[in-house]
Amino acid sequence: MTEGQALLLATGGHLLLLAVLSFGLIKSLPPTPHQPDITPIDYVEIGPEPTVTEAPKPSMDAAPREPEPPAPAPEPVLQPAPPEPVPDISPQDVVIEEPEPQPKPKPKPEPKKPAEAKAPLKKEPLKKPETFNAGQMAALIDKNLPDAPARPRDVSAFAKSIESALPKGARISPRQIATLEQAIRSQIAPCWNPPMGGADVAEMTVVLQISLNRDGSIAAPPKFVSQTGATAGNQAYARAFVETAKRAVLRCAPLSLPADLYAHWREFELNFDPRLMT
Amino acid sequence: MKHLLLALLLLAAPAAAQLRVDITSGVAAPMPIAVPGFPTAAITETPAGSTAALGRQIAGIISNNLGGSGLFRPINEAAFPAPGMAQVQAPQFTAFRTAAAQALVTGFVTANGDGTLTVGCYLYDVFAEQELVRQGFTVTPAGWRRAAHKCSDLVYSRLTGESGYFDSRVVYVAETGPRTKRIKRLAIMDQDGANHRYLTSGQSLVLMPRFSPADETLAYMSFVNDRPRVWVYNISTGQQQAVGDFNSMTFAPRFSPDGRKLAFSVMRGGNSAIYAWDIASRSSTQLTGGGAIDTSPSYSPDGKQIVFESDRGGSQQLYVMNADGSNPRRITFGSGRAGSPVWSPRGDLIAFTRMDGGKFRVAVIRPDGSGERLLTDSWQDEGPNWSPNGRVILFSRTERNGSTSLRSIDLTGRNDRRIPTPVDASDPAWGPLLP
Repeated sequence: MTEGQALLLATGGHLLLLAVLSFGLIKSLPPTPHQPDITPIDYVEIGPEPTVTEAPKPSMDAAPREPEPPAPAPEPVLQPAPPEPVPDISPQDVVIEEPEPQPKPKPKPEPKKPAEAKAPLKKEPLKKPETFNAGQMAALIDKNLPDAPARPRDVSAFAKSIESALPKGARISPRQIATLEQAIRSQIAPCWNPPMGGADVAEMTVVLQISLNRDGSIAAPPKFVSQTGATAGNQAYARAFVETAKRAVLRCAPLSLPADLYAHWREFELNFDPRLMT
Repeated sequence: MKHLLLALLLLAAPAAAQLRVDITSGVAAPMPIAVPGFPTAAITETPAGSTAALGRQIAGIISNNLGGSGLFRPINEAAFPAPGMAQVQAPQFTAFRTAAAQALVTGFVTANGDGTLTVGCYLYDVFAEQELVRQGFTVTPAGWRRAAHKCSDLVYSRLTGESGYFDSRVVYVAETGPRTKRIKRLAIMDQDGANHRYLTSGQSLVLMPRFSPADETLAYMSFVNDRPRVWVYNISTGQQQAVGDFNSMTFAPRFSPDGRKLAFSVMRGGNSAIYAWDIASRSSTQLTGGGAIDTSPSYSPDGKQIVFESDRGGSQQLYVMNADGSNPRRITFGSGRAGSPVWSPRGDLIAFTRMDGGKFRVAVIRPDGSGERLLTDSWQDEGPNWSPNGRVILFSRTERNGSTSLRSIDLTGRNDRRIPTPVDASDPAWGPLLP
């Protein structure tokens, strides 16, 4: 006989014993075959089903459906508007430039632009979970690039003319990109509370388009770009998931990012992917 | 050549222009939420108290529900100004942001001319400054708590994307008296412990109550009239009927997802077989052979499969079979024994009791046998049971001194909480979300 059988037998035996012991007691009760020992219950006690009123009393319809998103500082004012195609150079291009001999010990870092007059959102940033500051960032980038010139020293007239058309700091090395990415990541991740334990969380990601002002504040509400893992059956969850991502960005703004690289973080995408967390 | 290079360079630029940053980690922390007392336009006395007092109590219940889920952290009311009626629809978002709230639940209580109450419920995203959802509930004064639970469910489902579970009830076995003469009664209460009452007098031993997922029907095992067997009891009508006409003990009942069938065990000598019983037609079908101890059947939410425990392989383990009894396959193999399985209403997990090393612990496993996780670590945690949304597991814990209590835990293994009961409690079963 197995342990399980023994256990069941023992349980059954106890139950039967209890039943036998209770027998006298039961016999003395008036027999009530159909509702032996249930006290009467009125289902109404739960209360009637709540009527879903069309709209609760006080002038719901008069109320604005939802307030406008907080007015962002108007973009054009803050934006020197660099010519569109110019500002960025792909990493591969920079790699070509890097081996160039370096005449000067190191390039002078771009003087940090004074933060634009702050007329940002009417929100006070909550204590930022991560310590990050743009000064350290600039120093870090500087250290990372002892030999790599930020700009080529080649001086053909044509190149010069192109160069002068580029906004300052437009050129960026892979290292700078990596550091910038890390700076963004380290500020957003602590603000993100992904919805854990959902049935579909394992497959879900969302990409948002972020637009920032020069002071790091939100220029426009985070815009939905794309999502994976959303199905017809999990719409509510998919929506809630996107909202957690948007909330993370709004909560963490303004971001503290190096002003001289503004051209690179004025607009960027965030891909929220909690799959490693689950 | 150089020009060409530059031209290429410029062409390539836009493609590389957009920075994309992967956020692969976040913080699994409860969301801070503000639930200030609900204001009232006119303070009116009702049988349940004044509308002003009700407004505060309703906010308290919502706060308690949301906080109890482990997914939200209600913020102390002192941190923000109490909104008046005007602020219900035009909240002062700045104040709530200052209080670090990410969401705001507000609303109002109004006494209607016909004696009913209307509770308005609004949810706002504090950072986006957006209304997310609103809903009104009209209740009798006696049922005012349900309005608070409905509002809690509304908020929970809108913010998590999962259905709620707050407007639901729990049935369990209430235990009193000395251990040698234990009195066991069926008791029912709201999910938060309110509106507690006893369903049976305690004159007969009762065990294993189960809620139908479809309506207000219970199945349980009673020793009434010296015949230990399974009964079905309709709470709303008071009607009850014994299940089947078996000569031997029947036990371990569990409803099918549509509430029309009941699976349970029938004692056969030293073994037990699993039967399915059609409640309407009162006909039964034998599903397992009875050559072993097969018990604790539980249907999958689609009704197509049944998980059960069996010692057919030598020790007590979990098996999954088709609902007609075909194709049984074992799913637990870890060390120790596995028992009392129950399929999640979400379908993705099976909760069960893992018995190993002298301990009983609540665990979950996928229906294919993968991903077993222990959720609790105490001396004797057993009898798991799912919340209607498949998110929370209710179970009973026995201490070494013999006292028993109801506990709940999130399926992620967080938020181990005691469910308040007036007396010792065991064998809980969670009812469906009320309509």
